[in-house]
Amino acid sequence: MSTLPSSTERQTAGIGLRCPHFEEIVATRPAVGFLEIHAENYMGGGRMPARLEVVRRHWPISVHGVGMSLGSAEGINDRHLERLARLVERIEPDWVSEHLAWSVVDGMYLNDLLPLPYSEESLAVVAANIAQVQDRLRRQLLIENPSAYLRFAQSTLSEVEFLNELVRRTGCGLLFDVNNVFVNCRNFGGDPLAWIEGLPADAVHELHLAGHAVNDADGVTILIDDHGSQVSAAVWELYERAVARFPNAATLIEWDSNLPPLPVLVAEAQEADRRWRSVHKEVGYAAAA
Amino acid sequence: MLPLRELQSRFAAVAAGRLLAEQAFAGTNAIVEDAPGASARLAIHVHHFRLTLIEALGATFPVVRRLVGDAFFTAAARRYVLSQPPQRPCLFEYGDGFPAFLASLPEAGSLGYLADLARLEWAINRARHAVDVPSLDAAAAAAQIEAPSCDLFIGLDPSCRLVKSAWPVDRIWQVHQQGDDEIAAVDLEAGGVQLFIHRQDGEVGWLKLDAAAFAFIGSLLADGRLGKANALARAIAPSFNAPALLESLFEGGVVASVTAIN
Repeated sequence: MSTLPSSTERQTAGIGLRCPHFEEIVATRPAVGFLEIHAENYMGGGRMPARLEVVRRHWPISVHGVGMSLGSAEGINDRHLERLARLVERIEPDWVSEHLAWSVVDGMYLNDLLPLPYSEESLAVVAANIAQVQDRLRRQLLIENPSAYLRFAQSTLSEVEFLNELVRRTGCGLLFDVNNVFVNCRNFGGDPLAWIEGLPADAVHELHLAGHAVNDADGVTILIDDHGSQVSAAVWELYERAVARFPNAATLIEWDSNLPPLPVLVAEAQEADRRWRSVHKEVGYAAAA
Repeated sequence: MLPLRELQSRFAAVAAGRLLAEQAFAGTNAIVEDAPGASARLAIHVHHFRLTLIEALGATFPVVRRLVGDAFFTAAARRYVLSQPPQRPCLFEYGDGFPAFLASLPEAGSLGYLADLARLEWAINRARHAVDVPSLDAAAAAAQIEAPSCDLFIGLDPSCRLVKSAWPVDRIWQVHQQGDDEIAAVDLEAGGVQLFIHRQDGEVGWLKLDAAAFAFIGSLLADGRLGKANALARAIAPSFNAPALLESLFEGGVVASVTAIN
C-alpha cells in the first residue's frame, strides 16, 4: 500500500470512474480523493487500461472486483485471479476489494452478486478463496457486505458474525457498504446501528455510499441496491454513524446506472466530506479544513 | 440442507431458465419464504441476470440492435443469454457465438447481411479490447524481411481480425454511425467485402482487401509462415506483391514479431 492518504487527507471522498466521465475527469481534475474502478473492465488491452495509466498519475486508485466469485463452492478461477494480479501489479492501487457473494457455478458466470447462506460450509469456502487471492496478490483484500433480496433458512451465522470470522481467519479487511446494510435491514428487519457496532472497527478501510430503488413486489416493498440515484437521507444519517466508528475508512460514492453529469457525482462526494468533518469535529477529531 | 455447490447449481439452472424456482428448491426449505415468497425473490436475480446481459450484448452489437429494433433484439438476445450464458466475468468477452446464433434464427432470414454485420461488430469489439503487446522495432524487422536467409514467422498484433461478407457490411456499419434522420441508403447490390480489422493507437479501423491479400493475412493469422502465406496469395493472384502489403502492415503498427524459422 504505497500511497495511502495520510489521516488528515483521508476524509476526501472518492468516486467511481465511469467511461462517459473519463474525458471530463481528466480535463477538469475534480477535487475527489480517489477513483475506484471495476477490475473486470480493465482486464483487456487498448484504450481502457491506457486511460487508467492517465488517471493513476493524478489520483489514488481503488480496484473493486465484481467477478472473483469468492463464494463459489467450486473455488475461484485461476485465470481470473491471474488477470486481477496483473492489473494490480500494473496499477499499484491503494485498495483492492471484492464482495461477499458468488457468481460462478458449472461454467456459468451469472453477472450478479449472489447471496450465500451463512453456514460453516460457506465460511470455509469463502475463507479459503480469500486466502488464495491474498496469497497471489501478496496484499490484503477488502471484503464488501452485499445487498440481499432473499434469506437462506440454512444460515446459522449472522452476516456480522460471518464477516468477523472472515477477518479473524484470513486477515482480510472490510469494505462497509452503508447502503447495503440499510437496504438489507429494510428488506428483512434488523438494526443497522447494531450492525455498525458489531464489525471490527480496525478492519474497515473503505465505505461505500449509493442510491437505491424502491420496488413493489406483490404489495411488499423491496429496496434494490441499483446505484442509480443520489444517496437517500436515511443512508446519509447512517453514514454519519459509520464514520464515527470507522474514522480511517475512505468513502466512495457509487453511481452506475442512470449516470448523472460529473458535477452531481462530485457534489455527492463533497457532501460525504462535509458530513465526515461535521462528525469528527463533534467527537473531537482534528479535521483538516 | 443443500450443500453449497448443489444450491449454486440449482440457482444457475433457474437463472438460465432450465428449472422453475419452485422446481429447483421444492422441498429443500433452502430459501426463507418471506413475503412475497422465495420465487418472487429469486426472480429479482433472474431478471438482473437476463437484463444486464442483454444490455451487455446491446453495447457490443449496437448496429445489429439498431437494424432489428429494440424489441426483436431483446427477444433474440434473451434467447442467446439462456442458451449460451457467459463463462467468464469480463463482459467485453461475451458474445462470441451471437453472430452464429443470429444466423440460425429463421426470423432474421430477411436480413441476409445481419449475421455478417454481427461478425464485423464482434471483430471490432475484440480488436478494441485485444491485449497490448510491445511494438516491434520496425526498421530491424524490415531489414530482416528484405534479405531473408530463410523462411520467416510473422506474428500479427492480437487486435488483427478478418471479416468476409457477400454484402457491403462496411457501408452498412458506417451509415449507422449517424442519427436516425441521417442514415444514407446503402446499395446492397454493391457486392461483398473482405475486411482486415485492427487497432492502431487505440483506434479500431479496417482496410478493404482483395482476395489474394485476404488469403495472405488469413494464412499469417492461422500459421504465421511468410513463405506459405505468399504461396497461397500468389496462387490466387500471380502478381501479388507481398513486400508492399507487409510495408503497409508495418506502417499500421500491426506486426508484433518477426522470427527466422530454422
